[in-house]
Amino acid sequence: MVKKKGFKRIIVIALLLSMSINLSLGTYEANKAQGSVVAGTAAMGAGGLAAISVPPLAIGVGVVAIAAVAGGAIYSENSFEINNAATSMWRNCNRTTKAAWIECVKDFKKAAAAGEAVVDSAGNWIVNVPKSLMEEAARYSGNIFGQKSFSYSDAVGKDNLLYSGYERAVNIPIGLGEIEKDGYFATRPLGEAGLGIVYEFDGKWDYSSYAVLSLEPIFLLPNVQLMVHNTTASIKNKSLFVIRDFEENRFNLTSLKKENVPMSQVASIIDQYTHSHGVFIEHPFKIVSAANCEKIADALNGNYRTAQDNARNLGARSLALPKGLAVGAQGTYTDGKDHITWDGSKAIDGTATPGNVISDADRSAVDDGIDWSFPKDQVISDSLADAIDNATSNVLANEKVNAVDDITDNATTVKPTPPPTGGDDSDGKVNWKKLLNLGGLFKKVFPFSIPFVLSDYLTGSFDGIEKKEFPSYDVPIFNNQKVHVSMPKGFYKLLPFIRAILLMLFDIGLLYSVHKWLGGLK
Amino acid sequence: MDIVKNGFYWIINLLIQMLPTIVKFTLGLLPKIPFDIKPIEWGSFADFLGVFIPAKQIIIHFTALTMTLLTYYAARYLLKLIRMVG
Repeated sequence: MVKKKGFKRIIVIALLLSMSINLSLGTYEANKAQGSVVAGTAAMGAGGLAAISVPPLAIGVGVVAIAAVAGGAIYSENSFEINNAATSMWRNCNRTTKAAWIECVKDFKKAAAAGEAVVDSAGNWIVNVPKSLMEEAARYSGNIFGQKSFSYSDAVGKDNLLYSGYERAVNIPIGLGEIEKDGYFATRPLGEAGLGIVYEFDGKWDYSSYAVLSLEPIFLLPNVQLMVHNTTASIKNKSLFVIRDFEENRFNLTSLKKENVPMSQVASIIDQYTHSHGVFIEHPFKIVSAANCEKIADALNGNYRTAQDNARNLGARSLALPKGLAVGAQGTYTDGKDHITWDGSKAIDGTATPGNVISDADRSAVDDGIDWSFPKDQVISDSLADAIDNATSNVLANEKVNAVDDITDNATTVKPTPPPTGGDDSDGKVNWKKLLNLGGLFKKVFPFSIPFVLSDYLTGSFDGIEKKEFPSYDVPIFNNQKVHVSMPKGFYKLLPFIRAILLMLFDIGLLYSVHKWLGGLK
Repeated sequence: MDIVKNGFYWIINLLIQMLPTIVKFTLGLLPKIPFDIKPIEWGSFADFLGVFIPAKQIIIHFTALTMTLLTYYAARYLLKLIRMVG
């Protein structure tokens, strides 16, 4: 009996410890989420700040990962998609939102000036963003900000080239696999948006931006190398090519490096989308100018992750964050866990990037006292941009319906149905509508919030723990020579078996434990 | 007759309209959760271990099994009560 009591106490104490419960009464504010990337999800309830990090290159298109971090904050690993959305946000948001962004920048500048690590080891800029703003962004951008996250923590850095850390093929940076030694490497290999797809799945409408093809750099896409001219006809041909590739399920397989990509995931994603109802291609392209491409020698093993590159390619477009922050010698970037820390020796007001100036209209919208830099959307000339826009819109208009029909196999496009209203305000009916959202109120107050907090806790703790690939290491041996250590590919064939065995052992152990603890099967 | 009927619905709708306000007020008296529960930081070693361990499946199995057992015990206890009363 004594033993049993002691055992229960130990269990309770262990549970409490594992949950890291801090009795921080009334402290729901301003735990600045800096630094570490937390894979997983769960927007912890209550106020707090959120953090956005901007992967500098590669993840041109992807889905936003939101993960819980200390202090009820949201940590979001960013992509250019965020930047695109955020750019649009800026142009469309109200004064309050703009002010919120400004506070983010102020906070960022303050942290940078204080010498805090505002850039993580992967070159991500860590920006605290109020949760309310994230929510607004989610509403505005079709909830791409609010999607459940996936493991993303390894998605940046050199490992990015190996696609490690991705759990959904949606995030695979198409095109990177085609990088050849001394070949052309695009700092924005995925383009601005690639191919946007709006789809209905499980009764919900969602949006994904695919990096299927981008107009530039064409060097990464051997099958469109012949269509190099940005003429109207060429653009149209490229668009048709993408659409055709998409409908034939070849769209992003063409430029993947098979041995490095979990192809099963790609196949499942394709299957998912092609069998969804209501899939349609929304917008074929946005244009990436040649100015955003550059030649980097030995991209796979070389210098592409230098601080300079990070700074140059930071998606500071929408956040209007200074680009001079981690340039060159200022950064102490090493290819490890070290952070680039701004040393305060250079202005971070964006003046180092001439040409990226916020418009007068935007500037006058808010008197923020900050010298904003707000990069231009497109660097190409207006006339060419107009031509391309016209071309793409023509393609869109002409091909949209056919593409939808082909992709969905003649399935009827399903429009989202509005939620049942439960009546109206007229006489003679009971109006239940007012009660529909009543349950949500209980999620935020103690003690009703406990299950939701626990759920978030579990999700945040375990969502990103599973990995598809082993980490690899570069071990220095002699005179700057390194040995790349990684798990042999053949071992991966064994993994499903090992995981299945472990799962079965866990189940058996759980049954046995339940029998012992709760007296089951007596 | 219609007047009575409409009056009845009016009262019901009024009550429904008031209910969220009452609930909001009542819940407003309650505190927000006083815990700052942080997700577990597994560290870099988990990157290695995470390849082997099917964590999500384990959680799903764990939840399903414990919920099943809890349901079983709840039902058994309920049946006992019924038998006692009977």
